[in-house]
Amino acid sequence: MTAPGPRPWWTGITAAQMSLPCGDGEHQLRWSEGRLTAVDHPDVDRERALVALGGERVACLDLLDAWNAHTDDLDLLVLAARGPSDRLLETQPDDGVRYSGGYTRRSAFTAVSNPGGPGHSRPGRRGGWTMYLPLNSGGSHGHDLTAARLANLPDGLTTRLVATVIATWTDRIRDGDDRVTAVRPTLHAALYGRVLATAYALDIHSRELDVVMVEAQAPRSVSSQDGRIRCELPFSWLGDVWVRGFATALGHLCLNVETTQSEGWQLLVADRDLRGTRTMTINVGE
Amino acid sequence: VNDVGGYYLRRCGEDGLLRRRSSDDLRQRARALAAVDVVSPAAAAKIVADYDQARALRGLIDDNRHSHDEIADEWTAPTIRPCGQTLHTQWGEITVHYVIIGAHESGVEVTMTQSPTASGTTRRRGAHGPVHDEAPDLDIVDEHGNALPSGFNGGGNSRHWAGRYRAHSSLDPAAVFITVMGHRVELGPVPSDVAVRIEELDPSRPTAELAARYLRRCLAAPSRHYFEQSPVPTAIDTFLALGILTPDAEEIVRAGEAEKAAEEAVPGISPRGARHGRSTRSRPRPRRADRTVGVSVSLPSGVHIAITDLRSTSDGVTVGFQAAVTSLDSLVRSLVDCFAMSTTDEAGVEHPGELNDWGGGGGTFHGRMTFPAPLDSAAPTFTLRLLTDRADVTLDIPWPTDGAQ
Repeated sequence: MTAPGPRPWWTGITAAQMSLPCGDGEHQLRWSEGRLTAVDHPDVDRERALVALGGERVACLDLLDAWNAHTDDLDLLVLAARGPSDRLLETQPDDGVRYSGGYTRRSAFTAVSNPGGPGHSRPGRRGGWTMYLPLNSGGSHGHDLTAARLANLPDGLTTRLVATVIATWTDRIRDGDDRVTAVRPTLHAALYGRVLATAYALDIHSRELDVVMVEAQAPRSVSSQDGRIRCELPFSWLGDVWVRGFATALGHLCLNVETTQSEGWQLLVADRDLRGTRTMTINVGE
Repeated sequence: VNDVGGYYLRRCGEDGLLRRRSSDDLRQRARALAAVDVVSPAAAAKIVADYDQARALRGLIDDNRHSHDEIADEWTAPTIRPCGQTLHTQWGEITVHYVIIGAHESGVEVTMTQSPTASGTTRRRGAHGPVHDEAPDLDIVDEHGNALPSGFNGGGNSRHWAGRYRAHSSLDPAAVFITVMGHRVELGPVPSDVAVRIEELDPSRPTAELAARYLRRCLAAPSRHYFEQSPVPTAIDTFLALGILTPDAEEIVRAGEAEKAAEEAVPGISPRGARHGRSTRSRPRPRRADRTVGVSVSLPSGVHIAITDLRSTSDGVTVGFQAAVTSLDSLVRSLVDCFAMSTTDEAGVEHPGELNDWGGGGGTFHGRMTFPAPLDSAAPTFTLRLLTDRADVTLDIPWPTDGAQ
């Protein structure tokens, strides 16, 4: 039995937390229930005012502001990972070393300092949120390099930001927002890429894949014919299913997810031969 | 962005990321759709840039385009003054074909044959190596008595040399003569007998027609010889995928055959000639005197080309050019990909030029385009077509089969 009303879009997405060097210490940024907060900065408005008056920049606030400025940035759907097998280059401590091929390691934000200095690494964890960035990419095409940096945050934060972007555009599609028309190919491709990544996970990617982006209320389906897989899914599948990690469920392609009254999940999945569908229920124990 | 074209390109970008395809595949498809106005050039470039960045974040660096090609700051059309004068010097025969005068440099185009009795001014021993053959040093002086220090760019062997003496100073475009090795060389008037027609791409033309044109442009692209992936099959696949052309379309069939023939082509026979089974290498070739062309074309896309001269050689016809690119479309793989040349023989068959013997830097380059097809008609005019993504330029160049210009 399904729950009577819609749940918030972040339902089922667990909280996440990352650390970064800020000021003289190591601070925490925490995402929970759709919001990112700077744990060590209880009065961000006051600190922003100080920065505006010429005070020293605050790394946590810089990241917080960048996050909030990109909650509808579709570049993130292009840049960020499509799934576990789609890996971006690992983050590294910022040693300023230039690598062959036009790449360099750079600090993610200029305000972020590395207290250990070049080459310093903190034992027991990954080296902060610095990353490889192409020196020449983007600028001439109007890219915001911050999007590339946000696409590679550690500790699951990028996944939460991508979930936010998906939720934003899901709402805009539902509301008939004029901005949707111009970016429909981008939304459609974001859906296609993640269905393709799911097909990889299910080892059915050798077949040609067609993904038809249907309206949110339209029936969801997947079928296979003449060596091609055809999926009919709405953009909201990304938020309902993909960001929650349900795209593959016990070797099945998941088409839809609903919460149950007992805080469990009811999944509509395709048969492995893609000839029909069935439901699965996941009960979450106390 | 057209929904269908934009989604198609982004889907190809997704496939490229996950199926690990070359980034050049997406670039070629984007360029093809931009060329037929199914996607605007700006939108196509944005999509390519998006996926380039996504690939970079994954460490997928396989881009084989010349991404570091510089573009030129500006272009000033050179003045090209014909000479056509052969000097008999102590060193040997020196034919001065033309003088090219740019804003900041000048050049004297020559062919030279050393006299068997001349002393060894062209054989020099390297510091640690064998004897090298070198072109002679030419004393070039302008009409005011100022020497033009110059270096030779070209090729040859111990006796025959062809190329250009380049000086990093400009001549007066209105100069009457120069002096070479003490001989006065008259500078003729800038040729004015070449008809030039520029046809900008008309997006209102049927898409299939634009696609056919683009395939012709791809078949003539010099870059086909420099990059691993020919643009032709990718363009065909793209046009078929979006239903712009059908598999049985004449242009698809012709391009496919030409592409296959190009892969199997033997030197000296154009792909199209091979298709028709017409090896005419053995047919007698009419004599044509070299001629100076001296025509410059500037296109809004930022491609600038000066056609310097035509030569009839045992290998075919060669066209000398000097080019500059002041705006490089991000969908183009390199400067040499910015334009192509073709000509049409007496049977109406189009022959692509082959770029060889070229060089340059800083957004400019020069070289010779060779048309190995036996263009042996008695037609008094050589028709040269310059093909770019957004415009076609046709030059009708009078070129009698005997007698000088």
